[in-house]
Amino acid sequence: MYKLLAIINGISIALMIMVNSGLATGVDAMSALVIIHATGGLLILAYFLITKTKWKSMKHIHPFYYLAGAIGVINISLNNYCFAALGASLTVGLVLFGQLLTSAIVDHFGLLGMKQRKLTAKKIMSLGLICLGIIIMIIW
Amino acid sequence: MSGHYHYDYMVGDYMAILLAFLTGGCVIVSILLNGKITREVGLKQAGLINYITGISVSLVLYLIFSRQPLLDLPKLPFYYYLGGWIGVFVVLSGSKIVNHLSAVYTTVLVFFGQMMTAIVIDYFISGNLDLGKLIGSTVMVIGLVLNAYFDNKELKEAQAS
Repeated sequence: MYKLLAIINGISIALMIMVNSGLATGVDAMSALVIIHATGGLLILAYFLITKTKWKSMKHIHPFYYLAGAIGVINISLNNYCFAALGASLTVGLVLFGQLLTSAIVDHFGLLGMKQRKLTAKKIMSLGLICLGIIIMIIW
Repeated sequence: MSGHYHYDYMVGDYMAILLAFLTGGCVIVSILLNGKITREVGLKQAGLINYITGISVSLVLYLIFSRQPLLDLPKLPFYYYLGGWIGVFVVLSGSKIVNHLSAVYTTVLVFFGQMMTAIVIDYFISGNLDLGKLIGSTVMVIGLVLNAYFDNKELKEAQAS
């Protein structure tokens, strides 16, 4: 059932942040990055080869899009640091809030190839409620 | 990074709060950029490219800043090394989920799984259950359900017009 898979997906994300941060604390931040990417990369390479996937040409893709991998490195580094400094719940909550706010802005201005969808009062209100939840988590 | 939590917040923690918030922005940007590549060459190849560029950047950073020999690693619980594999699972399962569930269910259920696990983790590490975190995360989930619901409604209205 996909609803269960979605919950498992969320559980995995939280566990991933925990173990990655633990690794970064136990070895050092940069080695952890290499280990995390090497292990993950080997797994997806194996999956790619085992499913006999065909390699498609990427000549027409603008190099700008390859930044996704570099930003992934930043994501992992920041998550590792924030987990150690703030704990799991605050890190998860704040990252999510950052995601929602960024999506709202990206949609409002139609950035990065997304269709322009302006912010409505209802969305601002619900984002405000999420923000309130975070403030409660921080100061309570 | 000492690895233990401070619950009375100091300046360093406000920095971490800001950084966590910015991480959310980075996640969205990388998802959007990767999405474009995925549409062109498919998920598996896009994922592979993502890890190849990630390994390259990580190696450069490692060679510049790290003094840790990679082949002589300290003794850590084995599951600390599973993060990379969990990440692959998250990405691949995520793509299947968004093809079968509405955006509302996806965002709310994934967040619920994350938050529930995060609170349990915090409980085990700190030894006490923080009421503020329980209440705050419940408020967040309510706001998230509303947000996803309004998002979905607006999308349907935009498509109908």
